[in-house]
Formats: sequence, structure tokens, C-alpha cells
Amino acid sequence: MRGFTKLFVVGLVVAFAFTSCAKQPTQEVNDAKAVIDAAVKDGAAIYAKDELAKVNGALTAAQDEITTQSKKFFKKYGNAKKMLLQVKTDAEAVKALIPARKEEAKNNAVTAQTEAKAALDEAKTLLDKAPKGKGTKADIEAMKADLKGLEESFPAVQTALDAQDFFGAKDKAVAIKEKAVSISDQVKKAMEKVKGKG
Amino acid sequence: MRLKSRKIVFIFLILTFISCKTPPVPPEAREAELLEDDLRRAGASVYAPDGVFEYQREHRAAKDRLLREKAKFGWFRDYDKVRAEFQDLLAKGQNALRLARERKDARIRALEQQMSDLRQRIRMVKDVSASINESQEVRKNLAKAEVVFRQAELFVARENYTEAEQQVNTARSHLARSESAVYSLLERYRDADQVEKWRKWVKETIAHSEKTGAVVLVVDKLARKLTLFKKGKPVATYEIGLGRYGLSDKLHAGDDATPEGKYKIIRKFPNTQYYKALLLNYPNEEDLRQFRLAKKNGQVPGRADIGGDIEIHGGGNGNITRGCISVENEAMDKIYAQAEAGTWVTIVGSADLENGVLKIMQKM
Repeated sequence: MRGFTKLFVVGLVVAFAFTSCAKQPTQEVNDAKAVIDAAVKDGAAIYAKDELAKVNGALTAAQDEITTQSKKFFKKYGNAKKMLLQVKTDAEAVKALIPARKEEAKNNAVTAQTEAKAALDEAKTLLDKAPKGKGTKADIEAMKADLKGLEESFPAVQTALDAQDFFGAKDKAVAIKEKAVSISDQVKKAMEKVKGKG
Repeated sequence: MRLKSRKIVFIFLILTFISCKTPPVPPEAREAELLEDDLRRAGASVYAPDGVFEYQREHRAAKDRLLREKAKFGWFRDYDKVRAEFQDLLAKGQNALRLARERKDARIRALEQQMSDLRQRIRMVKDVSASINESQEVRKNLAKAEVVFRQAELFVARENYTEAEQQVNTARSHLARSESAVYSLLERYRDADQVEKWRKWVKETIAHSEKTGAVVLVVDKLARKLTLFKKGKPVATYEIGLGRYGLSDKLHAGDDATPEGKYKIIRKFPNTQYYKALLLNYPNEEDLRQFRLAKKNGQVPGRADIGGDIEIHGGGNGNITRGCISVENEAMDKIYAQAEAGTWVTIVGSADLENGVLKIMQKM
């Protein structure tokens, strides 16, 4: 029986040595964080906001798991390592999403810019063609001033594009387009008014 | 000895078994986790950072204590203190969450109020600009303000309040330039002495009509109205068009302003480029005096002439003239039929302190 007791004690010591001295997965944490940082640097906070929040949440959960294990007598970091590996994989996936999303945002902004330019050109053409006769000249002059304001606002779209502020560029282009279209509509109405009177 | 060893192992196993039957972890620990998510979702790190950081720090400490308690053998576990700690933490977290939501709501309300005020100001300036020809600078800046304001609306739709606030400020600065242009144009119209002088002219003109039974015409430039009086009573009112800088008082040829003063019709033209026309005796004595003074003071170009050929003519009230007063052809027919050489025509900036444009400006 003495042998059994000895074996039991030795077993406990071995188990203690293998568990309580288990090394924390510091390298894995750093690797996961590095990939997340790289994704953030690429613009994940703008182009993959939800996905980034999810990955950050998973990292926090993995770190909590490490903390939990570190307080235990029998420390097991296997699960934490798995979680960190998943975080790293997910962060890499997020990072991989960004170029396409960025490209999409850029394309949307450029499209909006082109549409805004077309709307401005149309309004300008209509205003130039509009008969400055009976009852319309004052309106047309006012709309020309409106258009000048829009034309002076338009370069800001390119400035935003150059600064890679694609959402800002798109918003500005959309706002300019809407206003230019409304000018065109007013010119058309004014022209109709003249036709009606003629 | 063997029996003793067996007893020790038995007791050890029993203890182990008992220690496995642990008291339940306080549910507050899970609630604290969920609350942390709620705080993140509510943007509490932006709106109540102190409360959130305190919550996160104490949450970490509470989790540590919970772990330490969990690490104990079941016999020695006592979650009462930990539970109390979590309850205290939850109360603090709820406070931080409430504060964050209140501050976020307050920020949104303030932004909405600012945007509502700005929208109203844009509309008012737009209304004023619609009734003045000199509105290029006003309208140009107004269009810029509208574009930026629309951007602000798009940011609000995406719940990006910081960017929205920045856009509102930019829109406000464009609008301020627009309003400033309006003020400089209409400054004379807010001068009570100036308006009183115009009113006096109008009264004298109407009194003349009442006394002689004659037709007189009164032109209110700001109101953009021409009123025909007969025997001192208003018979008809017509909308008019003015010069590009029609709200200014004409000083010299080519300034595209419409003169102010008491004039008379000196000639009638049944067929002109602009339908029918009534020629006024501009410049009168007062205009000549003002012109000479302005020239002496260097207010007009050296070679400038005082100009002339100021008419009331047809062609449409939406016209921008070189200083004449234009009306619709149908109106011109009626005016032409009533007016004759010698008919008084009094042109004023505004005879009405209650004028709609001035009222709007008072609100601006």
C-alpha cells in the first residue's frame, strides 16, 4: 500500500508540473494582435467595421480564457490557443476583405462623381438653352448662381477621392447631383412655362 | 496500514466528489458580461468614458475574484462577497449605460435642433433671394450650404454624428456668407429714416391723386409691385421685374439699378422692343444733384454718364432689366390705357416696414 501512496503522490507532482507550469500562449496572442493591427492599418475600421468588431470580441474572449486558465490549479491553454488561431485566421480574412471593399467604395465614389458631373453638365446646357424671355430671366439668373455654387463645390469630390475618403466623396457627389438635377427640373419647368404662354 | 491507506484514499475521493458539487456561479457574472456588450453597443466609451473604464477595470477585478473563488474546493467556496461585488458592478454599469444613452440622445437632439435651425435659415435666405435680382453671391453660397447640409443628413442616416456635426458647421459658414450678402444688399431697407422718406413720397403721390382725381403709379421695389391709384384709391396691383441691381438706387448709366424718386411719364410708346412703354423723366433734379455729388466724391467712374431712358414696359415681370420696370404685357395694356404724359410715377425701395422680406430678415 505504501507503493500505491507513493505512486499517487508522484502522480500528483507530475500532473502539477505539467499543468500549473503550462506556458501562456503569449506568442499566439501577439501573432493574432499583429494581424488585427495590420487589418486596422489597411482600413478595417472603415471598410469592415462589423467584422473587425467581431474579431476584436473573439480576441477578448481568448484573452479572458487565458486569464481564466492562469487562475486555475490545473492550467490548460489548449482551448485558448485554438481560439487565438481562429482569431488570427478571421483577422486575416478581414484583412483580405478590405481591398475589394475599398475598391468597391472607390468605384461607387467615382461613379457618383461621374453622375454628378453629368448632372452639372446637363443643368448647364439646359440653362444655356433656356429662353431668357418673358418671365424667366430672373429665375434663370438665380439658377445660374446656384449652379456656380455647385461647380465650386465639385472639386471637393476629387479632393476627397485623392485623400481616399471614398464615402465622403460619394456623399458630396450625391448631394451635388441631387441639387443639379433639381436645377435641371426647374429649368425644364420654366421652359414649359414659356411654351405654355407662347 | 493498508486499511489506513484505503481510508485516506476514500476520504480524498469523497472530498474530491464533494468539491465537484460546487455552489452555482452567481448569475450576475453573466449579466456583467452582457452589460459590457451593451455598453460597447451604446458607444459608452465615447459618451461616458469614465464610467466605462471604471466598469471594465472593476469587472476585470470581479472576474479575478470569481476565478479565485472558483479555484477553491467546494467546501471553502463562498460566492456571497463576489455576488455583492458583481451587484455593485452591475449598478455602476447600468449608470454608465444610462448616462451614455442620455448623452447620446442629447447629442442627437442638439444636432437635430441645429439642423432644423439651419434648414429654416436656408429656406429664409432662399425666400429672400427669390425676390432680389442681386442674388448671385447669395445663391452661390446658399447652394454650397445646401450641398454640405445634405452631406450632414447622409452622415446622420449612418449615425456618424461627429462627421455630421462638422458638416453642419461648414454649412453654417457658407450660409453666413450668404446671409451677409443679403444684409449688405438690404441694409438701406432696414433704415427707418430711409423707409420714412419713401413713405412720405408715397403719401404725397396718393394725396395728389386724391386731390386731382388723377391716376398715379407707385412702384415698391422690395415688394416687386406696381400699384395704380385713381382718386387716391388703389385700383390694381401688378408684379414687376427690375434691373439686375434693381434694389439699389440708380446713380449712373450702366449700373443696372432702378432709380428711386418722384417722376412723371414724359412719353408713351405703343410699339417697342418690350411691347408698350412709358418713358419717365429720369434723371430729375434730385437725381442730377445726387449724381454730381457722387461724382465729386469719386463714387462713380470719372467718365460715367447719369444715364436715362428709364421706362415702364412690357415683356414680362420675370425679366432682369437694365434699370427699367417691366410688367406682363396684359398688365402693360391696362397701365398704358390709364396712364398719360404727366402721370406721376413714384418709385420707392419699400414703403412698408412690414414687408415680408424685411420680416424674414428680422428673423434671420
